Amino acid sequence: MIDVESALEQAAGTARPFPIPADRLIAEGRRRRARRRAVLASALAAVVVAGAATAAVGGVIQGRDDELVATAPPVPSAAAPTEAALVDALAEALPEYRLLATRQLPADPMLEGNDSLYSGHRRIGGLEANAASTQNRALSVNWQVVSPGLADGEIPRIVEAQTRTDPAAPAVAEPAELIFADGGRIKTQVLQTAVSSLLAVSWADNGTVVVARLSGLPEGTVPNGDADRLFALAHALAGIPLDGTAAVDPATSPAPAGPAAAAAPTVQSLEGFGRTADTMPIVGDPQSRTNAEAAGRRILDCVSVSRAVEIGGRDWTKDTGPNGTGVVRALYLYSDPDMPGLLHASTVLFDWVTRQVVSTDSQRSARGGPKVDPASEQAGRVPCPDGSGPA
Amino acid sequence: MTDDQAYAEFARAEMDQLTRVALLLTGQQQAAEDLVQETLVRAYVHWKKVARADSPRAYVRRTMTNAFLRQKERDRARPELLGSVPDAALDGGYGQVDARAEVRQALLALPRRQRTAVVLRHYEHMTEAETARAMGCAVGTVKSLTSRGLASLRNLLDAAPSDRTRT
Repeated sequence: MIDVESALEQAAGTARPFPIPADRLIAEGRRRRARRRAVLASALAAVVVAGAATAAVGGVIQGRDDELVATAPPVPSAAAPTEAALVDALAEALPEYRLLATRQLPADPMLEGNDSLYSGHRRIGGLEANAASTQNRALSVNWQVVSPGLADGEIPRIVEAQTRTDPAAPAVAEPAELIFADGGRIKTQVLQTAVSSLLAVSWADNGTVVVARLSGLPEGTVPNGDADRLFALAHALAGIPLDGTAAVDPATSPAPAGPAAAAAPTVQSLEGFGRTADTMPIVGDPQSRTNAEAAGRRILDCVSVSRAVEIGGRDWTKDTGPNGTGVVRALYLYSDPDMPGLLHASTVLFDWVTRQVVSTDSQRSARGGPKVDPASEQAGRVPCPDGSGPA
Repeated sequence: MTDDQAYAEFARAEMDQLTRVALLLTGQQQAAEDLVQETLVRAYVHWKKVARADSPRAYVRRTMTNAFLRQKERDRARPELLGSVPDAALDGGYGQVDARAEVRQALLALPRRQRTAVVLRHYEHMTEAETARAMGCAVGTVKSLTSRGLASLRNLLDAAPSDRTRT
């Protein structure tokens, strides 16, 4: 019987010493790092250019009150980079990264044919909608980042990220860098690859790249929040380890002015407020919650994460709610069996004192979240969830 | 100590052993050096992660294993043959050189994954679990690959007897 270990030992012993000194390895490693960055930048730039070209053929943009509507012709396929092309580019640029997944989100039926729900939003298409709605100011975004390993009801760490659209390339947002308390960082780029689709690319220090794609949007109508949704998916797929603590740092939230300052809730005061599906006092319509649950979306939690920045062309940080009170933005988190690990975030602007939903942010309906009766909403009032009538 | 200094120290400590492993995997000194260079350069690019790893040594072995196994498609057209001229000057007599050549030749006759499993388990003395992590597969797969690889290796070597070590 051959002694394999001895045989291998002898065979391996014929190897000559490795001839390349460590300093040459370091030099090559530095070149590799630089090349990797350059190729990635090039790949992203190519997508940006293509995205801009896509936007350029996007058709006529019409103004109507405070919303813009893009009527877009079908996008020539050649004008839009494909997901596969981007994945290939990323694989080339980041060979040592592990591409975890590319995933196309199922088309949200609530988005189809519900264009009228988005009144109040400026929209042109893709992230330009965000740019328009924020008047090219930095938009403070509170990302809900979810780890698949989180237990039900466990609240992921909420991180603060600043993103702003680039006026020179409105089809793409600057990368948002998410910084976690444990020092981990994720960079994410949202790219518009066609008028009706968005792509989120996330790359993290842990060697993961995730591409998430959202398509099937009504042409020219990419409502605010879809970028968030993509981000959430991308980061959920990335499996970034998070703990279940905390909320947004109040120090990084814009402070309300005027009478709102005294009434504005602190993050701490929001803790415990509407924390469970059974007690969500700021949800406008309990029936919507029931509907969402019937559709398989289980409401996990509701957290109010920041004061509103702006919506409907109105800057709520400089103004107050309709009753002179503060306005908060609440994110409702939903689970979805089709997208394990992803929590849907729905946005509601809420008058803290009167408990009225003051926003026309109807995208929450498209998110499968609570709906607000249009008549009540028009009146600035919505029923209380316990059915006791408008506050 | 700077990152570069730490890396250099690590690389110097590991490079020769990595080369020996790579030689068993590739069968050729030049290919082994290429593989080790690629492994160590990747380790530099990701040095922060390597340094933070529970076992940087295991990390680079996983890197090298991945790099080796992924060469498969790219190198399909490249002949993977043992150098025809053994290096007799290393040490020992010609009989030993022949024996080493036979072992390397026999290893090369194994499918790559079997070869990798055998080398990691029986040359690097990695556990089945460590080997599974390095190869990105299940422990059961490692057991199977190793078992089949050893059986094949023994058959090949038994068929070409020389003054190899026997038990």
